[in-house]
Amino acid sequence: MGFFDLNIPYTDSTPLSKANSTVAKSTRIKIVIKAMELGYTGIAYNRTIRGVMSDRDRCSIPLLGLSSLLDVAPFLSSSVNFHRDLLGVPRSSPFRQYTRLTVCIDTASQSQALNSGNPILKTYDIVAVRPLNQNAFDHACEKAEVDIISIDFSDKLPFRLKLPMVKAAIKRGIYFEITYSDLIVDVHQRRQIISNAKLLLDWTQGKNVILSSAAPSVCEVRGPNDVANLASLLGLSMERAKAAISKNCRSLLTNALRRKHFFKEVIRVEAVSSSRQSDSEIPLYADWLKWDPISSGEGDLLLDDMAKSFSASTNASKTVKAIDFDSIIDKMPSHGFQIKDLISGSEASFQPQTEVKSFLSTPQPIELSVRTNQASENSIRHDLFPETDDATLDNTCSEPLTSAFGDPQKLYLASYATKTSTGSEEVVTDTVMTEIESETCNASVAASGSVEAENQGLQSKKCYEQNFVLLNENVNDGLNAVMLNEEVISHQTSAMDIELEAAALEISPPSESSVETIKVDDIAVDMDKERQETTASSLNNMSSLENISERMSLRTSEDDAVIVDQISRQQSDDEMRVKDDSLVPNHENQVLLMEEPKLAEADSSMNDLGSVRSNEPCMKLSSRKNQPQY
Amino acid sequence: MVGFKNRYMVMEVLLDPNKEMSGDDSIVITQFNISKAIKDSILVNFGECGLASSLRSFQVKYVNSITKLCIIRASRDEYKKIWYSISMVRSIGNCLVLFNLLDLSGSIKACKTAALKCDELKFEQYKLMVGARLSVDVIRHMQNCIEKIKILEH
Repeated sequence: MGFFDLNIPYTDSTPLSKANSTVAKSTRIKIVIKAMELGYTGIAYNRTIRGVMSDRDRCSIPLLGLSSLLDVAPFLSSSVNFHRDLLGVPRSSPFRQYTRLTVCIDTASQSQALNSGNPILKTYDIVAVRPLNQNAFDHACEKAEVDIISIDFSDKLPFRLKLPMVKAAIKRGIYFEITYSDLIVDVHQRRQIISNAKLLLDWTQGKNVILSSAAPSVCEVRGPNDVANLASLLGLSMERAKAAISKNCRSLLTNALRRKHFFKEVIRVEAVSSSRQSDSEIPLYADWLKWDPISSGEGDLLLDDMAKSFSASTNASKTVKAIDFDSIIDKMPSHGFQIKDLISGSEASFQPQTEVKSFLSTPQPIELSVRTNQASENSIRHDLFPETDDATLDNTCSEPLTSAFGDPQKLYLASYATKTSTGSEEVVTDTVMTEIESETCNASVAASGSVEAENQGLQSKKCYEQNFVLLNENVNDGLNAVMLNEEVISHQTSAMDIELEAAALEISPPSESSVETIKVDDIAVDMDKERQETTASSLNNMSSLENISERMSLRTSEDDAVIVDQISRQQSDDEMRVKDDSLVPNHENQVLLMEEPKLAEADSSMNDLGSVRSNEPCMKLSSRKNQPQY
Repeated sequence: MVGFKNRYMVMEVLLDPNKEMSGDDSIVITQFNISKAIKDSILVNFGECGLASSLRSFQVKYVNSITKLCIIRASRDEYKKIWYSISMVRSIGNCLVLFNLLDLSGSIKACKTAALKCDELKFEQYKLMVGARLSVDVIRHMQNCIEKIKILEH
C-alpha cells in the first residue's frame, strides 16, 4: 500500500517574477525528491485559487519528469529503494503525480460553481474546497461536487463544524483534509491546529480523513510513519492513522480519477493501440486485468530504470487517454463522419512515412525516446513545455500505439487530448501511430482520434482522421515517421499523447452539455452498430473503422500533411491511459466498458514494441515477455 | 520478569535538505547535540511534566555521524510523545534537520539487527555519493561504529 501526500503547494509563476519562479520551481523539485526519498508513492500539486474561476485557471501545472529529478539528486534511486524496503512498499511501484485545485469559497455564488459541469474543474485530477464561512461549509458538505474539504485549522475557525454536516459529507464520499506542516512551522499555530483537528478526528474516527503536508519548503515534509504518529497523538488509533495517509488517499484518488475519466462516472472509452499482435501469447484481456485505477498518466514515474540509466531512462508510459467527452462533443460533426475524408487523409499520410522508413531500425516506438535522448521524462500533460529541456516526449511518444481487436465485442474509442505546443507541431505522432500500426501484423485497426486543442490554434483537424487513416493503412510501412521527428518530438509533449493512442476520437472543445449528451449517445449507438458488425472477426479493422468513419467526418480535408504532422492537443486533461486497462470484473466501469463496442483495443502489449509501461507494478517490464528494446 | 519495557527507535537524521548533495556536512551530529535538541523539543511541546516523565528512560544510545543514523531509547509509555517531539525538531544548532523513523522495536536485540542493516545500506549510499573521495579514516570509523552497535545493551 503506497503512501500519498496530496498537498504540495504549487504557485504558478507570474511572468513578472522570474526569479521567484525559478526559486519556486527548485523548491518544488526538492520537495518532490524528498517525498520520493521518504517513501511516498504519490503526490499532488495543489493550486489554490480564490474567488471566481476564469478560463485562465485551467490546469497548467507541469508534471516533473524523472530526468529533472535526477539532475538534482543523482543518487535518488538507491535512497528511494532503501526507504521503500523499510516501509514495505514495492520497489517498482511508480511514483505518481497528480494535480489538484483548491478553491476558497466565500459566497454562495462561488459555491454554485463547484458542480460537475464546470470545465475548469475537470482539468484537474482532484478538486478541493476550502470553505471560509458557515454557509460555504454547509454547502460544501451537502451539495458541492468536490473530492476534498480542506479546512484551515491554524486560526480560530470562522465557522462551526457540525456533526450532521460532517456525517453528510462522509456519506457523499467527501474526504476531510488535515495539513500538518503548520504544526512544524509555528509553535503558536500548533495549539489551534491540535485543538481544532482533534474535534474533527473525534467525530469522524478517522473515517474519510486524509493527512497531508502543505509544505512550504522541503524542511516541513515528514515521512509516512512520522505523520501517522502525529495523527495518533491527535486521537486516532495507529491503524486508522496509517490508513489516513495510505488507504484513504488511495480510495480518494480512485474516486476522483474515475470521476474525471469516465463519462458520467461509468463509461470509459479508450483508444486501443494498434500494435498489438494477434498472435501474441498474452491474451488480450490480460491487459484489462492490469488496469490501474489510480494511474496519473504521464505523471507516473517508473523507478525501475532509474538505476540503469541516470540521465535518460527510456520509460515510455503507455497510457491511453480516455476520451474527454466534454471536449469531444463540440467537435462532433453534426452530419456524421464521412469516409471519403478519411481515405483522402490516409493517402496523404503515407508520404511522410516512406521517408521515415529508413530511420526505423526497430519497430519499437521506444526508439523515440532513445533518440531524443532527452529525457526520459514522462510527458507533461498539460504543459506548454515550460522547460523545453524536460520535454517529455519519450514516455508517451515511445508508446506504440497499436490497436488490436482482441475482443470483437469491444470497441475502444480512444481519444486523447494532446496539447500542442505552440507552433511546432510537426508531430510525428501520426507517423508514430502509423508505425505502430505497421507493427501489428494483424493490422488491427485502431480508431484513433486526437482531441484537438482549440486553444492552440492548431488545426483542429489533426484529429482522429489521421489516426484512422493511419491505422487502417497497413502497417507494414516500416517504422515510424516518428523516428523522423526527433526534434519535433522533443518539443512536443503532445507527441507523446498521440503516439500512444492508436485511436482517438477527435473531440472538440466542450460545448453545451446537451449537445454533449446527444453526441455521446450517438457514439454509443454507433458503437453498438459497429459492434454487431464486428463480432465475427477479431480483426475487424476496416469495417469498424469504416463504420466509425462514416460517422465521423474528417475535418481535415486539407492538410494531409497536417494530419500527419500535427496533432493538437486539448488543454484539458485527458490522460493517456495505458492500454493495460484491465477488465476488472467487479468493477462497474469495466462492466459497462465491456458492453461498449470498442474500436480498438489498447494493447498492453505495447511491450511488443518495447515500450515501457509507466504504469503500475503489474506492468512491470521485467515481468513481461516483451522487453523493451533500446 | 521485566516489568519495565522500552522502545528503541532507529532514526536517520537528514541534514539540511537545502544544501547541495556533497559529502561535507555543516554540522557533526553527536549524542550530545541530538539529545539536547530532542529535550528542548519535548519541553516546548509537552512542558515540564512531559519532559520529566520522558527523561527517565530517554537516552540517545548510538550515533553514527557518517551515515546519520541514531538509536534512541524511550519508555513504552512515553515513546509516542518522544517520537512526536523528535518529528517536530527543526534544527540542531544552526543546521536544519529532518528526522525520519526507520525502525521501531521493543527489544535491544531486534533494534541492533535493524540498525546494522540500515547502517550498512546507508554506508553504501554514502560511498556512492562520495565516490572517489572515500578515505581510509572514514572506513575505519565505520568499522568502529558497527562494533559499537554490536555491543549495545539496554
